[in-house]
Amino acid sequence: MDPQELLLTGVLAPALAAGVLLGLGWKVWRREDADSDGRWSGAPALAIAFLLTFYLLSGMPVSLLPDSPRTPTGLDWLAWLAVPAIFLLPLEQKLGRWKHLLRGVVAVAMVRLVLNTAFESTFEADVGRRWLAGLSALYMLIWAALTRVCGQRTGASSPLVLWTMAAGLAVLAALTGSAKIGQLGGALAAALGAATVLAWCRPRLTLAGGGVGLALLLLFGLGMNAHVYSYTESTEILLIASAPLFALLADLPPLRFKRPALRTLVVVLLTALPIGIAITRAAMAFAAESDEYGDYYDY
Amino acid sequence: MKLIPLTASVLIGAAALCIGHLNTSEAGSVEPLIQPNAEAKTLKIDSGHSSVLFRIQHNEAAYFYGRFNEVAGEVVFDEDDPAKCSVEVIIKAGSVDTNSANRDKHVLSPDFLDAKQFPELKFKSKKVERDGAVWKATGDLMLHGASHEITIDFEKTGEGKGRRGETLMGFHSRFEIERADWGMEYMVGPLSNEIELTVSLEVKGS
Repeated sequence: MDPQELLLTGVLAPALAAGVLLGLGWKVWRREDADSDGRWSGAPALAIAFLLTFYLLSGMPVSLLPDSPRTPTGLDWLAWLAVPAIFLLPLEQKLGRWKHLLRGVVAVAMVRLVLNTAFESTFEADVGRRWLAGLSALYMLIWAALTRVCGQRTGASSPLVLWTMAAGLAVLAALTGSAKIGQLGGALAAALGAATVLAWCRPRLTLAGGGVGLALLLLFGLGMNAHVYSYTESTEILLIASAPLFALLADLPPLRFKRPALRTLVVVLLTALPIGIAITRAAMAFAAESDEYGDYYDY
Repeated sequence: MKLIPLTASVLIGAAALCIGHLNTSEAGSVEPLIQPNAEAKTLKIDSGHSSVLFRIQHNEAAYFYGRFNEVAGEVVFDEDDPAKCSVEVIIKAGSVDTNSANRDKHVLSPDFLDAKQFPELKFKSKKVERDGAVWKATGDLMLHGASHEITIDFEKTGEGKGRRGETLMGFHSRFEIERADWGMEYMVGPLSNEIELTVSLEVKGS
């Protein structure tokens, strides 16, 4: 693919969209919340940036209506799910203890719908139930860990942790079969990169009002597509999924630092550790399967 | 005494001639190897002797060829009555072979064939017509979760007998599709939208 087109569709467009929407949200909601700015703009900014790149790469997602000309794929379902998530996920902040119910519903719905074709044609009933239960539980575990690591924080730390995960997933997906999933992960990384830069300039900016949940929805959905429908191995996917759990180690005494910059550095390094291992493993496997016919990414 | 071997030689020679004549007579009375089709025959596709190739243009330069190694299906064939004919061809997407393991994964991924979600490419005819040596099968090509009607020209390349006496027939077709019509619009440009498919089938049946 033309590098300029790649840069425009996969990086500049989503970064610009996310930056503009986060900036607008920061202006609109700055006086409504005493603790932070732009609390409600994180989810729409990330979702719209992702959907913009999706559209530029593949056009509109396939219709979910029965008379659709094509069967929707896992990526189509993920794109459609991002739309209600814009409105649903910010409610998490207002639900108190009931937020766990919301998370459970989102987890089950996301896993079931993104893996719809697998549930309908590949998985036997009991296998499908195990996938649904296992992945939903994993999703909720990661959500809880991410909330603890960055959910309530303002400043660049949260988007930087999420950027590390998105960029890692993008590279991993591209190395293990699907450049398209890689580009969509890259678009999310670009949007989170814009959020990081803005939050650096404006430390009161936050992704807590649904932004973290939406980033996780897209990350987990892309990860499931990469593993179930492409060729990303379980080990690599689990290493990426474990990144927020590694980041929690920053709360342990030997690694707990009070200086925000130092703490951010430790959290990002801990997040990057399993991701780096996953990418190294995938790169080695890719190199081992490469042959004299050259680099197939030479488009 | 010398007459005995001479007589024996003559008798053996005569017997040989008679046997030869009998064989010749039998050969003359045997039905021809290839018979005109009296009725529609249902024949299964022999994957081991069939080929499915695809051709795509890379960066507006060379044509790149790949193949699918597994094909199945059924042909109902009546040389004299195209209305009785039908074709169903099922190609296993996972059997794609581009001579590079990493590229195979890429072709099978959601970027192109999305083989784990759509494991088969399938053509099922709705109508078969004949125009001299050229046959035309109109039917649905199901690929990548979408189905569109296309008409494929094909020819019968030959007919023979297998080792067990079964009927063998060969068919050959070359046609072009535009992959974006089936929702495979990723990387149109660096890789051409047009894909030429060459399908050479050997079918067999009793």
